[in-house]
Amino acid sequence: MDDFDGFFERNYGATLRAVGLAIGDAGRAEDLTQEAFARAFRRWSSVSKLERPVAWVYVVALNAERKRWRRDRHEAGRERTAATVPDVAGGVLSTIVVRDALDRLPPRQRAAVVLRYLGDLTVADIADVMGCAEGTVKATLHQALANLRVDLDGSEP
Amino acid sequence: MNLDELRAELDRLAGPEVLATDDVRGAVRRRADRARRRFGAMAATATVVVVVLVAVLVGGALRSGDGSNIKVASVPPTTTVADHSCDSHVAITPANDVPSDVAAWAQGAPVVGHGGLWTARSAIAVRALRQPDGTWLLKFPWFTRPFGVPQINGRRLDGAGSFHSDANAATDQRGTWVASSLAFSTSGCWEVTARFGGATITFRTLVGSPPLPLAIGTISGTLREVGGPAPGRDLTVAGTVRGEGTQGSWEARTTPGGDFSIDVPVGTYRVTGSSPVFLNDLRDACGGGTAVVTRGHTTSVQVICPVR
Repeated sequence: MDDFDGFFERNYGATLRAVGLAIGDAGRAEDLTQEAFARAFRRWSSVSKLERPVAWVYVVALNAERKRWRRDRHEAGRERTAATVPDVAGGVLSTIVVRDALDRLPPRQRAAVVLRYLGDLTVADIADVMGCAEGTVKATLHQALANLRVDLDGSEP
Repeated sequence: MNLDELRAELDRLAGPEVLATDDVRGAVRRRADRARRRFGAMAATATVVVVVLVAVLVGGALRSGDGSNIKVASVPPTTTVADHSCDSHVAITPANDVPSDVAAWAQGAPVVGHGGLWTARSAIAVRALRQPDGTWLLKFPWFTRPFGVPQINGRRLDGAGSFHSDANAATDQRGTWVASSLAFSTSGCWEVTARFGGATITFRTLVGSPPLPLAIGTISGTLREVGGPAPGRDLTVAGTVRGEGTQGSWEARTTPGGDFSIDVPVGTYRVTGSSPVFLNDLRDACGGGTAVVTRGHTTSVQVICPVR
């Protein structure tokens, strides 16, 4: 069994950064992430046996966000249209432009793309975090990447 | 943009790397322990209720046992990881542990503090503004219970610099709190410590944009009382350890057990110490020799107070 100290050492920083960017609130992310690791510490004998304990931490940290994502999901397509990224300098995007585009994504698209490509969570992990089916996560990622004008080049999101 | 470029942009947007410091690790464990105690107390209450119900139902007398099996988990030993970033180093207080007047003052936003001294987490993320005279100024709020003005000190971790603070009462719809001005003489990584009514808040703040990583290391060790009449003694004592060197001076209070640890700029320091158990005329009679501090490393020093 991995020890909690090692797990904390390896994962705290990356989890905090991903949660912060996913919800767009660094202060709140710190609170949510610390609380999630505290719960992992309390249940470490069982959490450590999971295939990916860090995915469990993400689920706990972002639990409160689920309602918002669900609400957003129902509203998506009815009244919200995510602004797409302007094609700057032949497709070369600056960090500022990406940040602007990320800020304009619907919350669940933003979270999905951050958890997948910054947090390195699997589609199945993200489905657990967001409380939806894997197919829904894939569809959300496709929409988000399209809005961000990411060239998939035949690869799966 | 392809996926690799997206990953790189997200990594940039997420900000600098965050270290899992001992402070945060300790805060996480304290949260876990508090939750465990709360759960233990609830379990104990539930046990008592069940016992009473059973006793009533069977008509028997309630025998002994109050069910208060509250256990505090033992904290596993931690490894020391030197942190030489200028991360703010704060542990947010769980919402359940925030007094109602503090929560009202912060309007529900995350706070940092304990006992009589509190501040808003978001305030720590604010950067100081450069003033026309070249100094840097940070407006900073505190909430004290009962109201009072905290003692505020600051020191630069990565070089020389002077600090000045000014604090006054401020009153608005949230009540009365403390509005302070923190003035830093130069850019760099600064550590600010506020004390009030036995409570302490310490955080780091990056003033301006100095080169990273910080050129700092750690000095740690023990203040000891050694010697005396035969057979002599070797005891740890509480007190203060000081250093003077090429990069300025520093001062660290020891724990009651005589241990100290402090991050200081890289350099060479002459280490001395004193303890309230000694007479005033023996102040600084304790010596630790010369300590060479290198970047990212911990230098151990034994500060010896010789006793005749």
